[in-house]
Amino acid sequence: MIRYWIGIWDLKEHPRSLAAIRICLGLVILFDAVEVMRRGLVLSLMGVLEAGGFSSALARGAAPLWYQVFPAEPSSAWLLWAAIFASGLGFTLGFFPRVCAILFVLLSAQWNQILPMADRGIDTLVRNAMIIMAFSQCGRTLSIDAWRATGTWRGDNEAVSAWPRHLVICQLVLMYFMSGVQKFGLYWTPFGHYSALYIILQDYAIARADFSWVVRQPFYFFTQVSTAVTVLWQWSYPIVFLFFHYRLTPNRSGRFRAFALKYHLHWVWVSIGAFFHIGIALTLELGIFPWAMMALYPAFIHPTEWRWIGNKLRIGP
Amino acid sequence: MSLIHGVGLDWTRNEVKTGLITWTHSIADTHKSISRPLKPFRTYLGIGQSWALFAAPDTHPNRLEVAARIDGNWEMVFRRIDPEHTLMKPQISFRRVRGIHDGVGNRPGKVYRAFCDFIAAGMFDAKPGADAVRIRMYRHHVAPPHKPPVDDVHLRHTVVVTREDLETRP
Repeated sequence: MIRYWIGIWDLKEHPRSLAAIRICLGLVILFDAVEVMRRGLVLSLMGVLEAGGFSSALARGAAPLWYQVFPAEPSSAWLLWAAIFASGLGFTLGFFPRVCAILFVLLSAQWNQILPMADRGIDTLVRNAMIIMAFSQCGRTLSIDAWRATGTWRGDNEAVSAWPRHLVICQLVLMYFMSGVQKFGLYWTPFGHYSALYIILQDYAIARADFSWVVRQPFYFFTQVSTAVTVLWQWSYPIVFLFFHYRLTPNRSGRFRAFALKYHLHWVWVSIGAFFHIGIALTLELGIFPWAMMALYPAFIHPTEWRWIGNKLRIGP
Repeated sequence: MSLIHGVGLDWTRNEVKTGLITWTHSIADTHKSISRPLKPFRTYLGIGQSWALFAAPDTHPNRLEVAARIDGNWEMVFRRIDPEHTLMKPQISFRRVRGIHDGVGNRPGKVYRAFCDFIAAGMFDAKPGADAVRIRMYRHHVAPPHKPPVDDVHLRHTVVVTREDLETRP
């Protein structure tokens, strides 16, 4: 058992899945930063009241470290934005990505302290993932670092530790499962007629459009089914661990193991997640939430599976 | 209660209520004590594992609307989910800004006031003839189809910002 446990965390693999997470997550971070600037919100969201921003951080007592070091002026807000953008860019391009990841986490946490009301759950998840990436070798391929070291973008093709990718999977499983078990509202249950998604779609603060027509059938029924599937999917998410255990021990016997391996059952949970997030992106204005979540999905893909996926999509060699 | 009595416990409804509250408070206190040494990490790294996403859907959501006063008449310039009134939508609807007006709770503070000033400044730029901007929210009740609809609309957090306010504010 102990040997198995150590074996899991000691596995080595090609770094392309980690690089894919790095690039996807980095692009989401960059998109978010660019959106803040494009919408003219840098000063508002990163500045303090005294400089024309929204934050009352200086009046709250202990000022965030950023405003202990830099003066309460608009330029400090712009400096924070530029530092976040630069660290995101370096991370995406694979230019000292581990340093960039640590820098991003520290800067993003400062932003959180400056204006906590503007910091959402997805920002916490991004920081959690970036901490993991900071300890990974995600820059060993498809990066400037790989090009500098080997003269090619592909890098040296050396295997790296797989545990950061496994830890990202753990983070996703934990997040989905905890989100499921904490859904205590009756509307998520049969007692509330599984009407949670219908009610969420009527929330003017987050709905992308007027969904009052959903009250008609069969649309309402569809929201009820989606509510039930969401809860079931989130509650059952830890079963993904079992499927990954099967993948690590394919030579053992068992009908369910053989069935799960043959039909790649973990993809059922991953695919429902992708549909779930695309549905959110189409119906709710939650910003980067669905995209940042899906940016972590390459963690579910073993480095040897990319060619298979490419062939399936007919884009592979 | 019959379920509880059925297993041989003669607790009253009040005993169950107070017991539950005491129990959950002690769990929260224990969690706080255990996680106290990790507080610096949470503060400076901004990490956490709190994932209560849509734990209970909001049956009393707010609808933000902004009006500009032009020649003494209030003219709607922005309203959430209203394709006719979309001035400053990119700013107001941005996910990080939503936390400021939608998460304002019952007591809007300095942050909400700063948000209103920001909106007013933008509206004055877009509507040179306006002399005041009014920001407010309608809180209404959402009932699922199996429940009778409740006509329960409250006006909340009305703030009026005049051009003079913005020009004289330090």
